[in-house]
Amino acid sequence: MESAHTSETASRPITPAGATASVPPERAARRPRWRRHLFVAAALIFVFGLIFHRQWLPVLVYPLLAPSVSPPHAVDVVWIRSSDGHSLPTEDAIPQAAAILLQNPDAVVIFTEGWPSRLVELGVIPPMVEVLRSALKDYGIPPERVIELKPTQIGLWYEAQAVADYLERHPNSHAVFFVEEFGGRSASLVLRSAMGDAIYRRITLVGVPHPLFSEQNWWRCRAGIKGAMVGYLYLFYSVIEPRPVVAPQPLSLDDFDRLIPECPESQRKSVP
Amino acid sequence: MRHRWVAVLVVVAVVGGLAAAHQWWLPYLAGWLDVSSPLRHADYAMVMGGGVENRPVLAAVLYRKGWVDRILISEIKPVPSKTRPLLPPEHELTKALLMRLGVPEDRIVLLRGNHAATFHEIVSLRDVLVESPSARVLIVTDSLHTRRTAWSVRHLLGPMADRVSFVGVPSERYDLRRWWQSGDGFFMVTSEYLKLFSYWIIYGSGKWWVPMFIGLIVLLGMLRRHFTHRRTYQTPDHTPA
Repeated sequence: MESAHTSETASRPITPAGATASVPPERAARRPRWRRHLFVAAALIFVFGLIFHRQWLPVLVYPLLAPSVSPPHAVDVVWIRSSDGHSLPTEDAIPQAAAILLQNPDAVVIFTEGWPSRLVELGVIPPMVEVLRSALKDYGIPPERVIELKPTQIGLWYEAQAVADYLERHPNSHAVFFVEEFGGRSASLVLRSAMGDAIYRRITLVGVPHPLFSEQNWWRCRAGIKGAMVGYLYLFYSVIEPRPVVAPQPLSLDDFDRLIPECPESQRKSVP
Repeated sequence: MRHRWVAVLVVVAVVGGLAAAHQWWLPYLAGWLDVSSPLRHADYAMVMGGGVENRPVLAAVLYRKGWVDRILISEIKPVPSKTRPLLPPEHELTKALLMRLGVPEDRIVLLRGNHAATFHEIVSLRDVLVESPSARVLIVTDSLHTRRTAWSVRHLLGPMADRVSFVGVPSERYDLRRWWQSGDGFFMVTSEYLKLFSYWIIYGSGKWWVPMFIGLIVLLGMLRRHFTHRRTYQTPDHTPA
């Protein structure tokens, strides 16, 4: 017995071998109209996208934000870090940190630093932990409630390990980690890799918006567009390699000195 | 169908080959961004903003060793804060660091203005070069940042660009020969390429070339469709009787 498929094909005209199969005229006539519809639909999507950009542009940066977890009732550790040793990108979170410390008299701030600053080394600025202590003092928080943890090596992965060690010593503590808003997801990947799931679950990441932009308006300023780009590049890298492969090697002042030879012209004339 | 398989195999072979040889060609991506020039004596070293930890240090060494007579720094647009500012603005930190490294205060020249990008700083440099027609400048910035800075200099200064050369500051956070093995290295190299592209679009001829290229692709697509359509109707099945 012949199958339905065979009988259907058998009713079609057979194209000779080597000849190009042609499109039936009714289909060929229909195609341009479909394309016109597609073009109109694309134009409409573009126009609506332009009109309702405030609704969909925030969605573009959702992958960068820290995973949303409901904040725990009793936070007793606030983690603040300086990635470069001479700035606090999450300084707008200081009032929030102070509020937690005022609410819970047993709560402490742990501070870590991602890079040893030359400005601190040369005495241009005080250590960032002192800057943080001074800022919290404005809210009536005594300096001894800010503890500095020293990681074994440079970078967030090692800072997370130091915090994990602290939390292991304090098994009932729960921490809040203030992180740059668009760096939330990448930080969460690094933390999970460095701390392990059990300790990581005791940390709530809170994204602190940049003073100039947030997820709701990042496209309006240059810094916001740059922030989104930076966030995606770090996220991409954190997905592939959350743990640092190569340890950075800070240069000493002598290293810089060795890079530049004496100027031969200056030996001929007096240097002011 | 066979041609498609060949194309897929070629693409897989090329991608696989590139991945296997990545240690050989990836360093060249970083190397291309570094356009540091040989040192020559100049009247000014200009410290570009955004690298307060290392750029002023190299500028101070250049001053101490007699390569430059003065150091230019740009006033950087401060980031607003909800709380009281914890630290002085970046240009003040740069100035303090330079002085700590032995550069006298009267040898540091501050370029006033709300500089927020490389391009803005080069605009201010243009004013200095116009005021001092024989002055030479060494721009001190990160090695990976030199190509974008050089592009801005050529674009904005025209013939005056010959009076500007570049000193690349080595990176501490990553090794340029293995930049893809660290988050900071990966970020610096990839973001520099993206920024170079955006500079070309915003400030350069890219704003004309990109629409022209898209227009050309659309035109080619329309022409292809037109001829395919004609061929379809010219096959024996559709030839009018």
